[in-house]
Amino acid sequence: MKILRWQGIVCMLVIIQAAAGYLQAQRMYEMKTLGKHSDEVLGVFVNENNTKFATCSIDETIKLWSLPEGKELKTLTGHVGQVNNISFSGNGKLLASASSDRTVRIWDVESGKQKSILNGHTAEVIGVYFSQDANSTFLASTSFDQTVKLWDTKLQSEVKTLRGHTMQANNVAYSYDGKYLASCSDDKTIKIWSTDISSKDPILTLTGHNSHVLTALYSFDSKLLASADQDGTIKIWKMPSGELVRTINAHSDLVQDVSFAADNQTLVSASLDKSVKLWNVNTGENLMTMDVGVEVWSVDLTSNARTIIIGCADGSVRMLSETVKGKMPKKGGK
Amino acid sequence: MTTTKIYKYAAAVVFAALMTVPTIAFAQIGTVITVAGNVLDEVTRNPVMVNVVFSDETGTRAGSSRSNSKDGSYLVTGLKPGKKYKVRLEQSEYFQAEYEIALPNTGKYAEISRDFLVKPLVKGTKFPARNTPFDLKKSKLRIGANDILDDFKRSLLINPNVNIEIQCFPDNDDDKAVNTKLTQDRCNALREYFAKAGISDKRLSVKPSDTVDSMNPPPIQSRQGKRYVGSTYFVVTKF
Repeated sequence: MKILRWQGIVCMLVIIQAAAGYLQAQRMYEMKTLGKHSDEVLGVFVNENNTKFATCSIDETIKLWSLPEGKELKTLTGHVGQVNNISFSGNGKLLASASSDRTVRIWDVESGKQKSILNGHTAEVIGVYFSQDANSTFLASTSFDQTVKLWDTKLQSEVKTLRGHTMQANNVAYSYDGKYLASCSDDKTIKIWSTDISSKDPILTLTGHNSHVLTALYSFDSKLLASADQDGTIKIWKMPSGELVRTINAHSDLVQDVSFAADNQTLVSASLDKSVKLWNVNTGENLMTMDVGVEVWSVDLTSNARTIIIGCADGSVRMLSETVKGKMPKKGGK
Repeated sequence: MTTTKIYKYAAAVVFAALMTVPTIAFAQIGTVITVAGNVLDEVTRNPVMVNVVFSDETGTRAGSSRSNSKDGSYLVTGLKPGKKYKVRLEQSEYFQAEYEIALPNTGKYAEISRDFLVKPLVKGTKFPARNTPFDLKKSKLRIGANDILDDFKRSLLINPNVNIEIQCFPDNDDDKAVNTKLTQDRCNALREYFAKAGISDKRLSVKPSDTVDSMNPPPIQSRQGKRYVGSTYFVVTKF
């Protein structure tokens, strides 16, 4: 009888401990709307030192916002097509934008003025990503023309075209060590390329997604790559080997955007299933789910993951602020 | 002149001669830029074999290549950094095309990439405008319309024997009379734009429409505030 009573107490303690651990792992956020584009917000990018972020939209504009206030600073106009993606340079002084008008444009962040137009893609430009090396002037772009193009913004010139995807190329990202590029495509693959100018063939082709791969992004230490697809699945790959580490059935609709925090293990995802979720990529554990109530196209977070910015299908730009402080190092941007 | 002085003089001459050798060699070799890329059919995106001719600002031929029929690849080298070139693409089954390319001003050899599209010269071929040149429910050309129309305008100027039909579609199916007026006005705005650029309006016919474009219809579940602006096409009628 006594033994049974003790067993019951132990069971209760285990349950309470598990529940406490779960609650501890869960992160709580509150949401507020910062402002609006006049159409769907397709891209969000937080700069390196977490002082600004940019958003882009089907309304053909880019907006710059302050952090942590979330105040709208400037609206950049000039594209004559929807702006599909944006990226700050490593030193935060420049912003690149990719548009359906087939151009990549470079903007001076301080003045908001357009510095140059990069012509060369033969179809809509979907993805753009600056090298995050503060001294580098290179950026990469992807397009419906199935290519990845590498540009030198100092020379305002197209340096090389990477061919290999058999369907539209959706997004591109530099590794933070500057050695590699990852591009993803409707052909369900992710291709890894060397940033070396003389190399033109992919180093690796990662397969395993069952639908169009919409985004791919390196962790800050360049040791992991996260990719997300049209089915709502996120895959985590060990880099540079390309070994699949984990598959997370993350959302019930497409995931257009993901972003790593500076700890290299916290990942945020945004989906057209109207939710934003936070993950521990080492364990696959869901750390937070927020029902936004509207389709979410784009997401980025500050390096400590305490602030999450989302771009929504109703044109709103919203900030999710953590109500219970977590423990994260301070470093990095998207 | 003492022997020491002669040796010193000889050494100076040899040194001077040695110093000039690399300079002469550098001047003879110079820095060159190579431009490489692919030429593709604008409609099918298939590779095309065309002559790719680079001319400098004086009109002098600076280099040429024939693109590969299997992958459309071409390569032209020996171009000078910091110079502007006109690239002419020639093939009888396609619109003649001309592009300008400004090469970066660099002190060392560089290879840059540039792809080109060529328009097939086939009666009835339909070229959609790169983006809509109109705002919602408006018939006046929008800001930035020149960026959208410039490529086709240049094609018409370079190919004076090509006639086209301008087709405009409305933004919704609400009112046929309103749509006819809107799309007629849009067609006229485009005809006027091309005519101002020096293209004879005899080469330009128009086709308004009272219903939305069946090839590119508005989204079925249009969200509030979502814009859909009717399509614009340029159709080859004669060449």
